Amino acid sequence: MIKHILTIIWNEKRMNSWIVIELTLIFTILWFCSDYLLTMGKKYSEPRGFDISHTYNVKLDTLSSGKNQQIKGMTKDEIFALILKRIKANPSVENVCVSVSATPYTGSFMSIGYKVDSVADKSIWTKRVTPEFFDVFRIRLEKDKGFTQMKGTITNGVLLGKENEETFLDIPIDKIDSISNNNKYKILGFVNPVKRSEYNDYSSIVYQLQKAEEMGDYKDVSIRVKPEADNPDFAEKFVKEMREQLNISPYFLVKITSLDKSRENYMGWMGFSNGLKSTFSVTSFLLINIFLGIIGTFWLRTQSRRGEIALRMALGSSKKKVRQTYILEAIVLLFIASILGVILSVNILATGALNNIGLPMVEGDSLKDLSLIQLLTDYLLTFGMLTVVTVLAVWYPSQKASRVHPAVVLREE
Amino acid sequence: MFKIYFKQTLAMLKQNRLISTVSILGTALAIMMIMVIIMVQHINEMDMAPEVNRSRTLYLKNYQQKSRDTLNREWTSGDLPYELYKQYLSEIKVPETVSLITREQENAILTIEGTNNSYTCSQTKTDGNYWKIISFDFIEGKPFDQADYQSGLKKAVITEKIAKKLFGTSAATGKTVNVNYVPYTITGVVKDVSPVFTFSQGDLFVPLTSVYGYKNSWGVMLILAKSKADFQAIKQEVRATERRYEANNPKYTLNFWGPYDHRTQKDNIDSGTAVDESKAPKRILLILVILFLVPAINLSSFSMSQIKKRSEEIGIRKAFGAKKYTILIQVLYENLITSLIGGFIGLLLSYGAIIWLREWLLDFPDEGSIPAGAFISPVVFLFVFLSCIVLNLLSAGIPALRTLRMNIVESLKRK
Repeated sequence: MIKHILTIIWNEKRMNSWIVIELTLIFTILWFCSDYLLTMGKKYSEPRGFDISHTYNVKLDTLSSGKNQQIKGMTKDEIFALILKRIKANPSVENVCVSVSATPYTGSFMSIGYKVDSVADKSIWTKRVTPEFFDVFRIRLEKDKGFTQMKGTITNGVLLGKENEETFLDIPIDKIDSISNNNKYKILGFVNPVKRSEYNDYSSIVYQLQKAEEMGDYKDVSIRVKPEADNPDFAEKFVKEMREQLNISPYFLVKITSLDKSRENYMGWMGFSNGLKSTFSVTSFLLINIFLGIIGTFWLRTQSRRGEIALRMALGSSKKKVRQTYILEAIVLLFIASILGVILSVNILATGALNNIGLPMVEGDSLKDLSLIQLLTDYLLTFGMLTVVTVLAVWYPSQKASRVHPAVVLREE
Repeated sequence: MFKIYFKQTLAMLKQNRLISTVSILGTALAIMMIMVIIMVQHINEMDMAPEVNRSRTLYLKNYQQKSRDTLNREWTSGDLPYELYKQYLSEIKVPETVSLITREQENAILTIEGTNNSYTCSQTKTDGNYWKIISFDFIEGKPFDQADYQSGLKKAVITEKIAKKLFGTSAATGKTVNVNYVPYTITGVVKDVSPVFTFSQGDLFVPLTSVYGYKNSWGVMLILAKSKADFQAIKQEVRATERRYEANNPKYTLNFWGPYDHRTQKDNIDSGTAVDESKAPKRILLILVILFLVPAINLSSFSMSQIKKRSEEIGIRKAFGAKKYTILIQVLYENLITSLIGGFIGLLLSYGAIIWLREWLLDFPDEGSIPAGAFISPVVFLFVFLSCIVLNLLSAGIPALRTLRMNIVESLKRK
């Protein structure tokens, strides 16, 4: 059967070469799209390491004067601590923490050089946090080396965020003894791996444990709200309720923002959502085009092949067989195109031409990073998508072909 | 003669319904995608009120400072700090004028003395020169000027929307509003600006110097050149300020990213790296090539078969003395009609796509509206027409040329 189909295809190689070229081109582009989608999908499915449900960032700002509560005799830091206490006292609030460049989906990023054991200067992602940070964002302590006992900050205490189950900075956790730069830090434990966002990879993190007053002016306050108290209006209600209490000069409450909103802003800023949406549009555009292309090409074929089909039916071919031949022919063409397409894709990847153009490719996309499994899954996904579209497109022309009336057509010949 | 061709084409289209639909749909889809890309670029890049000076404005958004000390590899990067701007960049000579703006989403609480209402809105902090770079439409009043800025006076400009929210009317000049509990006098009211405009959208505009703690703020620097020809000179002046800073601070190296023109600054997101200015045009070119090529291949196979069917007719006309050129024109013309029909439908679809998907394409929320000048403009129509012609040539050109080379006798013989 296949041999027969190959003969038919070869007979019409002129016409077929157009459709094969189109299929190859589309296959190549879709292959890259599939690669991107699959890689993003895989990263998305990995746990992020933190939980932002029911969490909010509280934005406080300072003013020089104003008619807010004035409390004489307290320093700025003491007032800040009072504000935190009042936030915590709110019955809907489960926990409060303060941090610098640390909340999930924050735009700011801090990287400091350390010496880990004897491994010289490494720049590691650093977050400055109060101990409650891990409760608020549900980051788990996976190896306790004194954190829970201390129950609070100790000077220069740090928690290390693993980059995968066993290692921190490519060193097995059991072997890590010390971390220092100008300060000598005390390692109080290890926490689970955390990513910067769904689409990033896991990285090692150093969490420097500090008190709020050590954090300077640009600290963030975050709260976790009890699930039963949380609802879409919570932000507005909280501000209304708490504004008077928290407006203690020089601070005032601006607003609270849910971490979901911060996440939306971050994803938009990083262009992730754009990358995905453009890939979807390109994929849809190409699939619709190939659909139209195949319907049109096979429709025309039906018209030019009427004599041949009539002859087959007169000699005993059933309607079903005629339809099947059509569909098989389309799939074989697709298969030929797919082989050419893969060769083309791999070559393009090898030249690294795509990096020059800044397409939304996943970081580190070059021939070396391409594993066989990835090649196979990309191929299967692309081939799968195109097969579905091709079969749908060929359906109508094949129906029309099978309805050819042998006697009528043969008489015309 | 063209009238006959036109009638012939319409008849032909009606004859072969499926193929005609497929061709027109294919063209419409391609034109839709192409026009969406072009219109988005148009909206983002061209001079459009109130950002009427985009073509001669440069933007400096980030800086990076690195320590020269090889043992202590410290570096900082981020938005442009006020102090750095004030001491080194604000005095550059070549541009017509420069300005620093800081915009924070929803960080200003507006209250009116004697009422309980409070509104949270976005606050843009800037100087007097800003109003020379962006041309706002003042409903009444006027902006604060550079002298007000130097003195840190508490004056504000608000949009019509905010004026109505606060006072119930857009006549708000001279009234007082508390911004974060500090009283400001309103000097002017401007027409609302669509969120499409990154550097002029906002609700409230105040002098940066009037805000508590302004010396620690960061912002974006707008540079208005006298003309595009000065861009190089301005960039060189900025490089010179980098060297001046390094002379005063020998332990560090300093880099300003840019300044970039309007199109390039859109790619300047990450303060850690410079923008590779050659990437975006290549990317757009590649996408446009794909958008033209794929439908062209589709359509050319249809054109081929249409023409083959009429080879007899073409043979007879050649036998009667029709020149090759005449026949070529006829084929292209007939195809052009299909392209134009598809193009028209595609244009309408692209309008729909931009309106429906504006949140994604233009990065802004549903409440905003897109200025009509973006849709109905000679540039847009020119592009649609050109795209149709290009698509037409690509898809019908080769088949048409091949039919011309056909031998008259052969084509007559083919029944």
